[in-house]
Amino acid sequence: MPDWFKRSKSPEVPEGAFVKCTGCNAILVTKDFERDNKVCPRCGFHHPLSANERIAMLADEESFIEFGNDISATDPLNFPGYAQKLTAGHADETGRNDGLVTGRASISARPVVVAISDFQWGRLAGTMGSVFGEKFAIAADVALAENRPLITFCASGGARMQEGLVSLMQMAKTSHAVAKLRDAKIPYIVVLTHPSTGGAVASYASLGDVIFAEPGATVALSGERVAAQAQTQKVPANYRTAEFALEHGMIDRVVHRRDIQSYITRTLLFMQSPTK
Amino acid sequence: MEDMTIIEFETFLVELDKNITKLKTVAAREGDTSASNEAKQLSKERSQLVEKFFRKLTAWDKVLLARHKDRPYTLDYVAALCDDFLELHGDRAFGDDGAVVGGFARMSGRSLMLIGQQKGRDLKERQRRNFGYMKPEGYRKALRLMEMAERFSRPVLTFIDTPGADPNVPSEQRGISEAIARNLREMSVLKTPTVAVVVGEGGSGGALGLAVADRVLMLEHSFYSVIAPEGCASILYRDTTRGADAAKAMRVTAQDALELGLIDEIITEPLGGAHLDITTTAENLEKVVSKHIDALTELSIDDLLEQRGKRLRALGKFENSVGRWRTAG
Repeated sequence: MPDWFKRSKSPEVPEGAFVKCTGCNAILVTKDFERDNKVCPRCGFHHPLSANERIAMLADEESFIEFGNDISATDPLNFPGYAQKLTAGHADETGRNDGLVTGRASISARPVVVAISDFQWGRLAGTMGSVFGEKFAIAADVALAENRPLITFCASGGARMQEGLVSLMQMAKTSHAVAKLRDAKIPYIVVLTHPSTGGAVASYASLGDVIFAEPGATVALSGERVAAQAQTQKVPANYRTAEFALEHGMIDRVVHRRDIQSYITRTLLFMQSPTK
Repeated sequence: MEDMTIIEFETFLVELDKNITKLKTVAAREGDTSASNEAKQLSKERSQLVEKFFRKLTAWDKVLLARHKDRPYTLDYVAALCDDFLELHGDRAFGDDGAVVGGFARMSGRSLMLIGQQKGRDLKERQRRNFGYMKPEGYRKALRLMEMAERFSRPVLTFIDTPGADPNVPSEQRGISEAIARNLREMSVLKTPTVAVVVGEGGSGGALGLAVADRVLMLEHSFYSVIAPEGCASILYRDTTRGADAAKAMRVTAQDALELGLIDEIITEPLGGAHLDITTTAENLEKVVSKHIDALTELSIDDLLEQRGKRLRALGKFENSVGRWRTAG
């Protein structure tokens, strides 16, 4: 019997060739998905990005020069389980010391400092421990010393419980860093991504000259569980989202991921072009 | 006795006191010397028990004391300490938040802007004051008053006593996050001396929103925490009833905060807690606060801001190396 008569085996699908959209369950071709910066073309769901993916999307090619990786957390309270998380975080392939990634870069040929949250690092939800606070402060110091705008992408569960009160103080530390930028008229741009909650939005992430947010991102002070427990009245459908924050005047725009880079460029152009 | 919480211990003391009173009555009525001796003996043992208990207060006992129904609140201190207090209201934008009071105060011969979180005593007042949970308009009222103090060169004194910021829908609608964040930023550069005192509950960001200051002080049995112990327990142990364990793990007491270098000084409370003797507590508080305000007003505004900036910049515990976790992994 000729070969072509036989029923062929199901075609070989290379591992990872397709991904399923978290938003609408559509099956997407991984290559296209990556090209679209992990935004679903069908429903527009913005999937999480690592800090490296953000930088690739945002900064001019090869322009990113990282700093701030020469310090590390100390587990000041000997908090249950914290050491394991720190060890896991430091062991990941990025070789970083925290979920906040800081460095110099250029965006559309404009020198900037970036501070970008990586929600995944150490499975610590981008929380603000001492290393986070110090790296943010260093980033602001560099921005101040070199007259570069500071651009931050927030993805954070808030303060880092595992460092107790020390982590709460990082809210004060980062807010003070922003105060110094403001005094010196250095542009400070915030992009809220999913999720931007707790201590992060109650400090540096609500203090941008301009605040953008990605569609559908959770933006709220209280975590889901606290919010659910606390509600004494009916909750609006878009409660705790970027769209809710926009509706109530808390942010400037909800911006599709593909446009973020150009919105930042336009903002810098407005702030930095000569007055005459 | 070992396993009792402070609240259970107080109940036990009430029973003990009843017995002592009974014995004393019997002794007085019948001239019974053995009853009289027993009463004396019990009284002596009572004070020994109290001392012993308070030497070994757990973090959870401190939490319970800070939340004690009779704990003095801001307005109790105002009544005990201020020769004059003119309360001012409203944020000039939306409303007036009952969970925070503020206004012109005369205290130890000095004019200052006093702002404090305020809980209620009875159900009606508790509701009016939202159980001490401040709303955005509260933080904005506080900032308005602080900026006024700056304009008229008066020091700012804040009292911290809140379970946290109000997490309900209307507060999110009006920008609770922004209101707190703005306070942090503005207090970090406010051009007048600032002193914050945690008098009861220091509940996370809601507390910090009034507590970025040149000096941060805590009453002996207050606590200050990044998340409510119950909230931490729900995340850590998936069990909200394990607040005691979480309080211990997070090190929430004034003594912990001092050890971690996050506060400047602890203000002593009378044996048994502030609620047993508010006069003494207020006197202790006044002494320490005055000392710090005196020192701060000596400084030029430039020096003051430089020192405050350095304090804030230095907050955090980290190592200048990366060895530890990498080698461990």
